[in-house]
Amino acid sequence: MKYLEYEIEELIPIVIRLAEKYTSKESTSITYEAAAHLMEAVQYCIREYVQEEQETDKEGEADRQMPEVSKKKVPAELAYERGYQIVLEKVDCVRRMYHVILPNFKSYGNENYKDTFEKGIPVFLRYYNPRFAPQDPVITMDYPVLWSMEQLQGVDAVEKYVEAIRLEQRFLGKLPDEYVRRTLEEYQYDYERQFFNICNIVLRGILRRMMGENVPEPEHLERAIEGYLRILVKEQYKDSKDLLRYLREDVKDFCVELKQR
Amino acid sequence: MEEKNWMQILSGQNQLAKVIATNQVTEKFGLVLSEEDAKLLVNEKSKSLKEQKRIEYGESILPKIIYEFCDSDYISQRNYVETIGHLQDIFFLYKNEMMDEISDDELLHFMKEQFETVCYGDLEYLESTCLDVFAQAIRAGYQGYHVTEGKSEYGKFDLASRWDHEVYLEVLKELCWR
Repeated sequence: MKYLEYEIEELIPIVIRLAEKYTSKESTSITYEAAAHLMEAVQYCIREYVQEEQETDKEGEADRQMPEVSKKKVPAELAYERGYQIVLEKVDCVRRMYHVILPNFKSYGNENYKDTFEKGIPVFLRYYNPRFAPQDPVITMDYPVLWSMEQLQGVDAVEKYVEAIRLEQRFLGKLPDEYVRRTLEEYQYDYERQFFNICNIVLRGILRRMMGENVPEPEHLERAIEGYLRILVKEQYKDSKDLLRYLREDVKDFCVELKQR
Repeated sequence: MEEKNWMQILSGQNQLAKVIATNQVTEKFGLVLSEEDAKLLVNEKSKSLKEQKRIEYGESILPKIIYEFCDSDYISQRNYVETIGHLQDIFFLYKNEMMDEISDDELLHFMKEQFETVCYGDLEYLESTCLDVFAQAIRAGYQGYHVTEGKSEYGKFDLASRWDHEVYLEVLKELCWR
């Protein structure tokens, strides 16, 4: 039985150590559920380490995390501790990103957007448990962003989520507030109480204006929308690759909407 | 990853030697476990853990249970193995019932105290009354046992009127030696 490159027997001592910490050494047994949860915690941190190593290899940099003999398999305990440190670094990154976004954050009246960001993220920062439950993001991130969050867990999910908010704020922030609110109101009069993504509504409005009457044939639609999006990001957002990558997530769904009309 | 397989590895530690080693302390109370008895108790423990969906790691609780109860007025060589086996079952059941809010030592102290006093050695009463009442209190948020380590706790929750030992002797004297 293996997890990534580690035999399960290599992970068990780490689970035992975590269980002892978890119970402050005051219990000699835990429930199956608790044990499974701790095993997931160990696996999460090891996966963080392995992913970082893979990214480092891809970039072709010398692997500074490896011990004296490079490319030898790192002991599970070391991989776990390094992964745990990576988790802590990511939490710190979320905290910094949050505090950069917060002063100028605009929800344009949408309550879900406001609550998820202004109340939800601080809950994560306060209650997230990197040692015993790194896989648990603690919050539900009710405001839907354009990226799919399904495959992500723990701090990875929240980090990507806050990055999505940052990009949305960058996109929307360049537009007059009144324009954004009017667009949303025209879309749905009570948009303040709705649980949809407001960024794509505004984006689609802009792309429609750029297309004007020249709506391409269905087989060329996606390519055309992509083209308009690139022009928009290039001319108004300094050709930001990050922003383009994020806003492109909506292109397929937008095309489906246009085809249905 | 198959959950039950790695959990079996986690809990599969040889504890037989430590259980037999308890004889060095318990024999002065007239209690001795044969190797067969010890194996039986270790097997019973495994069954009990499985039934309660718990997993033991590190040191086993069985020697602790033995040390806690070996000086009991209600345990003799005749009922030693059976009683320890039953106490094991009760212990794991109530670790779950108390949602792991209570430490091993706190629960053992409580069990021993009640077994010796209120229960007069009756395991059924210990399991179905004392511990049940205490578990309800803990689930409701009671945490006073952290300070007392599980000792002298039951009086706060006991609903039954009980005889005070001194009062009983007084009344008996009065009745018998008028």
